[in-house]
Amino acid sequence: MSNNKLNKTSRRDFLKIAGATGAVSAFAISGCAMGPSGTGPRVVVVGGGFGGSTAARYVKKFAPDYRVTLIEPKTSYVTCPFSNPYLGGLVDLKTITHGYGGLSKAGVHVVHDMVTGLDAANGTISLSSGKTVEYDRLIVSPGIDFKWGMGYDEAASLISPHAWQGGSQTVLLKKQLEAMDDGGTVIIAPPGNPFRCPPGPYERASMIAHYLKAHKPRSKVLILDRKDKFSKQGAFMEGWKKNYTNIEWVKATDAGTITSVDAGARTISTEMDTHKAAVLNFIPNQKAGKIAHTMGLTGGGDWCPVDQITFESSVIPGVHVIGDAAVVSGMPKSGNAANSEAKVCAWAVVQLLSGASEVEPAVTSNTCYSLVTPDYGISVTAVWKATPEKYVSQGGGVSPADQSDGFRKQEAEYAHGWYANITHDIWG
Amino acid sequence: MRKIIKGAVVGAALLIAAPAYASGDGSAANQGNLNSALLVSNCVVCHGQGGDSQGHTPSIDGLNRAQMLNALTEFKSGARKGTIMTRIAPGYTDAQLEAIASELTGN
Repeated sequence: MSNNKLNKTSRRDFLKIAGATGAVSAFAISGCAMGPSGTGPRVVVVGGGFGGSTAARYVKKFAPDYRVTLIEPKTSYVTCPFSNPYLGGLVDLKTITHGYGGLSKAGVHVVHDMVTGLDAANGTISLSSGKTVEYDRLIVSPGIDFKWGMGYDEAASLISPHAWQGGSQTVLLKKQLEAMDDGGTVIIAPPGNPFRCPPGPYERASMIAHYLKAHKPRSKVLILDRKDKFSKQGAFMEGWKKNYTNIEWVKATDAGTITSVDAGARTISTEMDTHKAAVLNFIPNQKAGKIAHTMGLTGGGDWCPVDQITFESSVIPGVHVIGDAAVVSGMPKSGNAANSEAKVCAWAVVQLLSGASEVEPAVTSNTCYSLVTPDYGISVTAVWKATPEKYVSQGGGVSPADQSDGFRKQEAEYAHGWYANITHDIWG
Repeated sequence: MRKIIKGAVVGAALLIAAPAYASGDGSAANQGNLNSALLVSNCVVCHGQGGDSQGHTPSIDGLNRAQMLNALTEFKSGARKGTIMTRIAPGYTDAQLEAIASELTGN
């Protein structure tokens, strides 16, 4: 850190010299008229998903005088949460699409650009537009990228979508479901651990089964898993038994290891069999988003190791990593967890920039709803206390078994309520 | 009502200066985790900013501090039925629930 401070001093000296000689420096972007409002420390956030957008908003909320910049290439964001109800026909695309106007109104300087590099020694990032942005603390929320293989790559995903990032992939999968003939099989191949949204593939199976039951009653969903158990398994299975005859889950031990995927032929082969799909939804194994690797935040691994209290990178000081890309022991990779991590991180960043010598461990939580049918919701929740090693559970749990129809309906309604409120918290 | 916002939007200097609440059960493990603005930032994802829900989850902006604390305490003990709050409330110490009730109601 002391090197970093020295370098920052040198940079200020450079700016003084540059100013005195009339040179125009790209370094000056954060101080220009179009920059962020405020006079306090500069916090730059990279990535406008659940983690990054929350972090930007809450730094500004916790410390209104801070100059907060959010850098995100896209001008609107389609969420992964509630993309399954979209596939099931419960909500439209507009409902799960969010702009950045709310963040701008909250005082966050939103820049639609792509980050191309990090110069941590000098506290700057470079953008594809050629600009350079200075930071006092950087928060990166990279999201996920895929470990392509077995014949399935990015080109293949344009034929048989993974739909594990919101947007065109989600829309393509829905179009294929609508176009398929009745009597076909939709194959979902969930990824191996760890991956974004552990209950997601099983909610997806539920929502597609709901759509098929109403529109293509001779069709079915086959889940070929790479695991022998999954999140909220008991609650999902109880819901499936009660509501569906068109879902079959095959655990990894019975399915056999997947050996190849042919997106064009819509087949998936295991060491035991080859399965033909009408619609193939192969979801690849995952790693931290590209920007994490570009910035060197993974330390050569798949994910980004971080301090569990502050989310500061274990690899690069002064840079914090949150959301699915970060290794946060005890917490799932979920949109709500990213929102919670962002708030804890925003809190830590404000404390550190205000001169705190250490940050007090936070208590935080996660709430995750899944829809089995439009009127049947289930949830898992947790409250954690941060420790240097991991997030230790203080309470929580999965929806109990054997509840009334009214209980399930209320959880389904609360799922919609959660979505409306968390997205309003972030982008509203 | 925008009580949560009012409570949460405080200057950094104030935040840093704010002392940690004394822990209700006095154990060292529960000291220093009661920063109420951070605690209630988790409530708003279901109940809305200021407790003003945008959807089917209940709005909680009409409750006073005693009602709020009573609801949280009853969810924790199991005296009050619910779907998810009966699982969430037991995750907090009594002192944390007090801090949450104060922050949510501005009292």
